[in-house]
Amino acid sequence: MIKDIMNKDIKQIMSLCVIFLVASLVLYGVYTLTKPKIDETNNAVFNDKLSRLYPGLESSEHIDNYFVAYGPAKSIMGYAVETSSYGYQSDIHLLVGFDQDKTLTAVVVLSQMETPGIGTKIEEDSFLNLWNYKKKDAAKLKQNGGDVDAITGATVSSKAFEAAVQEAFTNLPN
Amino acid sequence: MANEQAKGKRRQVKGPNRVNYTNLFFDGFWKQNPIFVLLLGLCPTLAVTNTIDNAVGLGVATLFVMICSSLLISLIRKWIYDEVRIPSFIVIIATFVTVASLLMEAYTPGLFLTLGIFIPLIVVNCIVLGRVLSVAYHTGPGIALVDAVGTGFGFTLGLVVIGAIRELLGTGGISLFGNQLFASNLSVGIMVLPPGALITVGLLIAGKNYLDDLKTEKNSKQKHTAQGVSEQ
Repeated sequence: MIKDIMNKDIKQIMSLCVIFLVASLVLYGVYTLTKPKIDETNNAVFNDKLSRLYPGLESSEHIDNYFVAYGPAKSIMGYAVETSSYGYQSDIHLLVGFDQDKTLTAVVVLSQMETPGIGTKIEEDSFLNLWNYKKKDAAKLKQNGGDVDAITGATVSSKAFEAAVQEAFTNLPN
Repeated sequence: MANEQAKGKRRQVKGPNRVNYTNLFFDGFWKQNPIFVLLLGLCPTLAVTNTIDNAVGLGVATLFVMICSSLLISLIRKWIYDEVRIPSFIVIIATFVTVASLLMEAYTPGLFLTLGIFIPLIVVNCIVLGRVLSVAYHTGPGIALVDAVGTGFGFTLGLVVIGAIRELLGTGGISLFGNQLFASNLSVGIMVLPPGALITVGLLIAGKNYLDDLKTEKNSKQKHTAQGVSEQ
């Protein structure tokens, strides 16, 4: 009796293991095959967002953990930092743009998967524009002593946004 | 014991009656349409029907997942044990959804970004799991495939019709994959939001039921006339 029960259990476990194993292999395969194309697309999107932060951008250079934006004749237009912070239910990736004086000029959201209609409001201009032209201490939420109003009902997303922006300040070259 | 019962069911379906695949297709497409009859998958329906592009995108992705999952599960149903069938189904469906998601991220990035979280949500779309549980697990691959195709197309067509109505009334125009077909100043605000979607679904269900009633009346009238003639 016990042998029968154990036999059946083992068969079930084996079946599940095989399914999981094959699924993992398939996922690994498709992931590896699509990775180059996905990286290519992400790079194109990144460059597009970078040129939106710095109109007239000629080229950029990746040094340490920041980007230098060059205008005509290799003049420095500013610095951009890519940061991320975990919000309510997803990583919020930001590209924070600074000018030569380390003042925040604008923020662009690279990706996020927050609650639609609530956390996703961090991508709206009405929120993004609040951060423009702020120095480090002002680039915080009002509850933390800064100038920016958090989004009503999206405190966690707003706080994560602020954390990412503050981290961008620390990544700038001295 | 449960396996023997399931085997008995399978033997019944393989019986002497030939399966009418056309009937099976239209069953999933119209008579048991997942949105308008079974009322399944309403959450993504309300969310992605704001434009035709989004509706087509999610419809095709769901169709892909349904065909792959139903076919595979039907082929290996002998090795999926009844007591652990739900975890097995979910892993298989989730794998196909991830494959679809990776393909969309690579080749249709714009659509991937707009559909966002609703691509992974295909895993818990009741339509996929429901068809697999009730059809693919108990029948051969031919029937499972046609059922998945019929239901999947029914879902996609439903999404596109709702999407067309919402886009037309809500934004005043229709644009297909980057080509603006026409535009106007019409803008019924509520059509852009989920409540408008729900109202549209309700009205379409009423419309479909009306059409079905008309057809039943026509059929029964024909029967009565035939009976009347033969009785005389």
